Amino acid sequence: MLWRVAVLLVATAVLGAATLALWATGGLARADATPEKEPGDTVRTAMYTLTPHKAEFVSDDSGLTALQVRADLVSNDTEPLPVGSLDLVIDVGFPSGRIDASALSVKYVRHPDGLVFDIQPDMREEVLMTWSLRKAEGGDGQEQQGDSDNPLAGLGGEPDQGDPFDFDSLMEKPEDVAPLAEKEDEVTLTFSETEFSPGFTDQSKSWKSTDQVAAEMSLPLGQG
Amino acid sequence: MSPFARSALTTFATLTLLTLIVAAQSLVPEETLATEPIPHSGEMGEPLDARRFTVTVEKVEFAETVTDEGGFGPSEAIEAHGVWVVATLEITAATAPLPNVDAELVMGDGYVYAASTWVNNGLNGGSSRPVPGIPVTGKLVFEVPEDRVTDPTLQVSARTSIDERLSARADIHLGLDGEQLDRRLAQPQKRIAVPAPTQTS
Repeated sequence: MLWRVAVLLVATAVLGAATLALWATGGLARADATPEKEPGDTVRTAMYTLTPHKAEFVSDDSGLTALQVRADLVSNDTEPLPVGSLDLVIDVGFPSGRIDASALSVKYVRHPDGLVFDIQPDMREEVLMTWSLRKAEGGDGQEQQGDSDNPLAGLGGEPDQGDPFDFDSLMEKPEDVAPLAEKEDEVTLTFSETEFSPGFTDQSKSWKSTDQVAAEMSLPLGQG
Repeated sequence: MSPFARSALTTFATLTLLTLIVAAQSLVPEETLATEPIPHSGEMGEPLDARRFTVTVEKVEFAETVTDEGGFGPSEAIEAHGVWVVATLEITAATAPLPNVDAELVMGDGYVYAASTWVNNGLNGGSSRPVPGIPVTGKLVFEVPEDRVTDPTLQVSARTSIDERLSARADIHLGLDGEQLDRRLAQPQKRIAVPAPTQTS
């Protein structure tokens, strides 16, 4: 009976000492820490392998300021990879939050006249990835309505003023973000882990991002 | 029958039925498989009836560069990162105009290459619009790394809309492999000018 109590006491003492030592040395490292990468580092996911080199603001085909990232890209699929699905798994963020990136288009440095719709398998390419940019909605707080009596204010539940099908605004040339772009000095690319899986409503299989982040990379910005 | 034997029989029957239900459920094809384009197989040089259209692959060539052959002279030559595989084929729509022509080159090892959109005159470029009864002849170009060209099958799809689910697809085995393929890959043509698709009634 006595030896049982002794074993219990020793075990408690050892566990307690181990916990204290762990606490004193800063605890366990977070398992899900996002790997930070530097420009020129290679990001590898199930879908693609990408080495971004530099980022700059350029003037796109419609004369608007766009973000262009020069990188080496190779698809890890054995079938053509639609550029649209690449757009879904790479997130572009500006630290100020004043600019949002929208559609991605890809061109190859060796033939800059031709738009690329599919990344073909087993072909390493030097690519120009161009994201069109627009002003972030409500990014600078000026868009908020001052209606404090309405508990739903700012939740997006209110109808827009005027005609909901405003074709003029659809046809309108988007506002150039050049004045905002001047104040940005870096851009952060977040690369999601990817999986080839069926969708929820659309059951056909395609490349999708998972909840996990494969890497994050901040690139300094130059003016093109 | 004793009560024990009866309940044993009931348990056995229930488990058997549950197993059969799970087995039957696993046989239901998934959405992608159930709505795949419907393939029709054939060989190079022979007319292949894919129900919605008929296609004949006349020849396959290899080239270092391709250009668009236009009314104002050829456009700038585009060099291949690998080799250009250029297929010449004739398509005839069966019952309805088929404005969406698309093609892929499926290699023997499973690698798939989509037809290039850099050549505007390609059959997949939207300038061709096969209408019923009038054959259209044109080219499809593919950019492929040389060492990936192995026993390719050309999959041609011509549709009324961009939706490819349950559409007709022609799979033409090009019969390119072995020494003959290596010889042809080693001596590609300098340049192939791709003319706009023409009606060849």
